[in-house]
Amino acid sequence: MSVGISRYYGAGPTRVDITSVGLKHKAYDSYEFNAEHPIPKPSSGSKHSFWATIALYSDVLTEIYSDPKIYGGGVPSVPSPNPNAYVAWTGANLYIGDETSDVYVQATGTNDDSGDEIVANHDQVTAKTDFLATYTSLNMKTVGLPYGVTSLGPLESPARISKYVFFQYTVGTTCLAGSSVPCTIYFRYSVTS
Amino acid sequence: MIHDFDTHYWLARTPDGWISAEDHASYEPAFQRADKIRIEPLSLQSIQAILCCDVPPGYVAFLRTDIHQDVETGKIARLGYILAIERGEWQDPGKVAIGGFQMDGADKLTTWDGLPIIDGFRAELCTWNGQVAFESSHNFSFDVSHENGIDMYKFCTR
Repeated sequence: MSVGISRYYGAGPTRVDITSVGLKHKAYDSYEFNAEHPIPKPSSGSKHSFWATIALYSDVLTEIYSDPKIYGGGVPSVPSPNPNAYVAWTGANLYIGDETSDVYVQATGTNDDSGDEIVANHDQVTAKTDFLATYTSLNMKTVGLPYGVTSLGPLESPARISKYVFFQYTVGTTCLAGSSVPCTIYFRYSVTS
Repeated sequence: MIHDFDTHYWLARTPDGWISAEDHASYEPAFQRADKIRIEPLSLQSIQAILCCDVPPGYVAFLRTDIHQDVETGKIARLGYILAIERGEWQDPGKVAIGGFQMDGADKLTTWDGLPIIDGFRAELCTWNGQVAFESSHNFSFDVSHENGIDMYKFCTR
């Protein structure tokens, strides 16, 4: 019984708990944390991940939730030593849709090439912001509870306890081949328990 | 409810005796009858700090756990315990979104950003650095004492 992070993918959508899995960005609509379906380096312009849809999810039936927010730990540096051969975030950006929503929209694009750009193709998103450069502990982004309520709970059954949040990873011509240094993303929320 | 991740828990003195997070939730009506509230460490491994206050007649108490959860690992990166008092009446205080303190770049709490402080106080025990953040209206203050290895924060009216 806990609050976890869920990722939503596919047409359904299918929900998967990515707590302890992580959030991987690929040129494919999948949650799996592996090296398959990488985003190719563009010869010009940009290429995108398929957008990722995440939310807080709880199966605790005795609590009341409020004030969900999200923020990051800044653009990470390459660690030293670097046993996993991570590469810097040169030419790479993690964007967050300015809107959060209760409406799920399946990610689209061309497998193993590029996801469709989120602002132009996601029905719920009209603008995007560089997440790691903008939203930090000093400036958290309000996510909101489902359907605009100000508090939620006690739940009658396990449920999503935040609106959907939409991320897209974008690479340009100067990006480096390999896996970017993992960044840190936090959900912040309040519990009446 | 006390979770696996909790380091502290609350107790409240009601006309029927003391109740606690062990078998109650602070959104229950019984909690709103409390005239004294404490937040205490669960073990010697917890930050050794106690928050306590009296709830004056005409005031409402709010307890919230402030959770910062790492999306990549699911682990709780920061955990805070909020104790708030405000004069007035709320139909269902446990369901009020009271907000929280803002943070600075060094993960230190700064200013309150939530339910306006008109006549009351807001306090948060930050278990990640031992800080206790506090803001209040002019008629509340706090004392800190050190008793048996524990920092005791008492919030009271002036």
